[in-house]
Amino acid sequence: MAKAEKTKEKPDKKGDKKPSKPAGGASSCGLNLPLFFVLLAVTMGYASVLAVKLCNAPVLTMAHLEPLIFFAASLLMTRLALGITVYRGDPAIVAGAFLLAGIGAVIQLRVGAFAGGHLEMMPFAIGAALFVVITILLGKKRIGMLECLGWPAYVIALAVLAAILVFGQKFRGAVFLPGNYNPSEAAKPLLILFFAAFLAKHKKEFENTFLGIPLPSFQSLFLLVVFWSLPIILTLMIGDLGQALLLNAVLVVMLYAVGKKFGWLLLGMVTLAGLAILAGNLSHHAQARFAIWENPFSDPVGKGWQVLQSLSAMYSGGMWGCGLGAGAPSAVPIVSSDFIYAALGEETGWAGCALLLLAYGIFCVRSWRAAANAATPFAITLGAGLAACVAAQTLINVAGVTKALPLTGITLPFISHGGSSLVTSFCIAGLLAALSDNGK
Amino acid sequence: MHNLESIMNLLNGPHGPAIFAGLRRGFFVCLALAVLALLFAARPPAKGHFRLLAFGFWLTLLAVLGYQASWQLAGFRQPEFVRFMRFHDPRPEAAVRQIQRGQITDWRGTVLARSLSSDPWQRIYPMGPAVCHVVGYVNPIYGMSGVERVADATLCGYSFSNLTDLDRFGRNLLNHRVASGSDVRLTIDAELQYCAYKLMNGKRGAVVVLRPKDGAVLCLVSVPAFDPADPGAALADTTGTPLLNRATQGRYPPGSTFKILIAGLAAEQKIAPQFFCSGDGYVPAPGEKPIRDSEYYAYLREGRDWQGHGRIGLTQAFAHSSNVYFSQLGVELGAMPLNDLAERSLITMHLPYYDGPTGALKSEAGTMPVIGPKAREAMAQTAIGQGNVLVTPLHMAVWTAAVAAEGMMWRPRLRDTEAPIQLGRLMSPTAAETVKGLMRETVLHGTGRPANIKGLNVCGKTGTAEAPSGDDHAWFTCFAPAAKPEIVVTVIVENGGYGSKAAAPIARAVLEEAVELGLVGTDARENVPAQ
Repeated sequence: MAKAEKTKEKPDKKGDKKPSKPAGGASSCGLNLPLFFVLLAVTMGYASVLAVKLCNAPVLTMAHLEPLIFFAASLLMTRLALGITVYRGDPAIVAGAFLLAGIGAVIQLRVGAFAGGHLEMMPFAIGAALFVVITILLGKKRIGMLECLGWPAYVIALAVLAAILVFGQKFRGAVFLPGNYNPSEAAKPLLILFFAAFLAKHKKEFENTFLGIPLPSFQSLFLLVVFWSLPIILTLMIGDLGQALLLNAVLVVMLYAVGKKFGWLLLGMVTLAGLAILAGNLSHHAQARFAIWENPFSDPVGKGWQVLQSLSAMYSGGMWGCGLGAGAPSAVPIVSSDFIYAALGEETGWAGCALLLLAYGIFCVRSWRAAANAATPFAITLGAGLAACVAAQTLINVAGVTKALPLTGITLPFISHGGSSLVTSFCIAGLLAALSDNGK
Repeated sequence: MHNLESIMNLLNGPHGPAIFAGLRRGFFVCLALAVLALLFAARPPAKGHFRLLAFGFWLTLLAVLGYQASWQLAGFRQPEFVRFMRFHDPRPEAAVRQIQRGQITDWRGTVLARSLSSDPWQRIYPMGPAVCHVVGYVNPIYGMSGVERVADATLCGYSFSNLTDLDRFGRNLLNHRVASGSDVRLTIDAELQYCAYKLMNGKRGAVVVLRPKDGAVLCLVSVPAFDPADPGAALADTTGTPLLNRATQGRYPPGSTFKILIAGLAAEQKIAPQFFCSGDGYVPAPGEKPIRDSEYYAYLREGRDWQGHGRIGLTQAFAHSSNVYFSQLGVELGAMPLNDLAERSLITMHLPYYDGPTGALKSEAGTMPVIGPKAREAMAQTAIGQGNVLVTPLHMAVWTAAVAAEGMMWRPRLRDTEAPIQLGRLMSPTAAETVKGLMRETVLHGTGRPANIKGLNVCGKTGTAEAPSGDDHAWFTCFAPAAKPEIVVTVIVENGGYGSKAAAPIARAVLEEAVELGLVGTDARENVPAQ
């Protein structure tokens, strides 16, 4: 199997010498080339991990190969489905989602996932299927159909959060449902959907400014505060400070998308900083996290252990990393979920991390571009919010793992272990891909 | 299955590294191509106010990557981080763990701690428990202690004064070149240390040997000791507390050895009164228990009656360590000079004896009560080194060295290259001269006779201090030779009984060994080229 992959490797090395090709070679919808390279990169990563496994024992079961087969199959099916339905959206959003999810599958295999058989592949299959369905169903400006679903989405989101609060159990300072399944992930796109509809409806009021200072009407502002504080209070009661921070950041971007004034960003950032300081003063959990962030060496083998191990792992990776499968990422506690970025830092180095963040950047920036080109205020706000959700989540997670910001326990979209996170990420990507498809 | 085995053999064979390097590069190239393809895929025009959002996001990503680089690529600039990784990075091939740790030697170059070149992590302590409290240990589970702790940066080679050197060191680390640290040379004399350790074997207590003219520590023994290669066993031993460095961290009532300071005080004030010392003792204040001489109790045990020293002067009282005399002297001196003494003697200070780049070794601070103007009981008790006076053996040795060095206290130092530092004046030169005479008389005709060595004019003072439980603590502190002091020896034996019986013979044996080793009586040390 490994041999077959190596023979495959040769022709693409030739492609390496002609970097201008991707720029010019845009086919009917420009999906082929990016998807081809995505498949190639993921296959190479897979081969590296499997080679290390083979190095230790001559055992190669279908379970080892299934994730790659699943990935390749879903990628090809997506390409076919989008081809048949004449997808005219941004190919970078589609290929970006699959690149990130593919890297996630590789690194998850590396840190020991997929040992449980088919069941562990289900989130990937479901996510990819939902991605295709959403992209096709809501493409061609049909995304506006969602506008009337704002209220049901809001109710469901609140119900999900309330259910976690009632039935959840404490784990590491926050509440999760039994089995540490975290359905609050699903609440995020639902809330964004509702607020996109709400803000689009009150667009005029939020556009109103006075001397550059946003000055919406009192009534609409009051409604916004009431509707917003309900889910935020529930999230805070669950103890998920990171999620609350994330939702607030997303709201700021959505307000900016509607209001179009820089003042909204400024106002939002000031409010966010104020809330963060307030949370830091009120919550012991947050205070402890803040203290570790300030000086992890004050308790290196206790509270500072995780982030210092994460930094040690990255340090041992250096510029180019020690190679996929060759490191020891399991030294970092809970590496497969919140700290997966440390494993990538160790095995693909700083360079690999830079490429990964570049991919995230392209995905989010292209999504914002798609939102800016959308037709209705609802679509613009929805796209801005969804892209901001991925962007903020990436930033908060990576900043926490690298100690740039205090730890918040937020997953890395597409890559962190956990079915709910992956399915949610795929759904968001599907909505964004559909949004970018302005064809007839 | 055969196919898989042949692949495994190929990967583990001579071409294995090349295959892995190829896979790594292939992955990078493909990933870069995929990202490039994303970047150049047919894109819609940028427009609207979202451009600002995109710009801000790129900037933040860049900032996070830069911050990540400050750890991932330049983490070696942070000594605390390097230290964390040395201890807690489980990767066996981690670069920071490949540092060849430097040696710790005594002043002659005898190795006290070294590392194996095959396994830099493994530490060898040739002297074992004899010098364990000074050298300390370095252990992946129990951390570091002693000189191993405070000299860690020097031993590992990451104590740099400028960033250029640090960068070179870091590049060596990143390139997996073996980096090595520097050696640390101590003032300890390994043979004297071993001799003192053997003498103390089976007891509890400490021996401190100093050079009075510059504070160099020649010997610092604390027993019970532990095996530095296995601190875990010592940690489990809760009865003997072997991890405690009694020489620097153990606080004891000084007992009669404190009379050295009181005599110095009297000499400074130029008073040498005569007191009547009866067998019934001295009652400093009405209603208090009488303070008695130790002879009273010795006679009592034999069923005889102690008549007292009668009317005696300072010399006789010092030589025979008369509590009755000194408690009266304390009351005569009064509160002011005693409180002043507490300040001058630095008894409440931590004495640093090793100043390293990553920390200092310091002795525990002693205590001495502040005496009220009418507190006669406290004056009397303090003057005989009881009451609430507590001091470490190292501090006692520093005081004794001050008497030998014309009243000047020198900071004890353990590192050979450290410059001698004066701590302050304990007493005037003339007072020091007087006390020296008293101490000489004590060894010639008083309680210190067991330490009298022919041909070496020893000056000393015994101490028998009431312990909180069990027998008294036995002290002996001395220096020699009287004319030009070259060595100070302080011995304490916990619950040893009389200082003259339990501690003085040990001090004598240590002095004899020092003569044998050429540390006293010849100028051997001065012939050694400076390091």
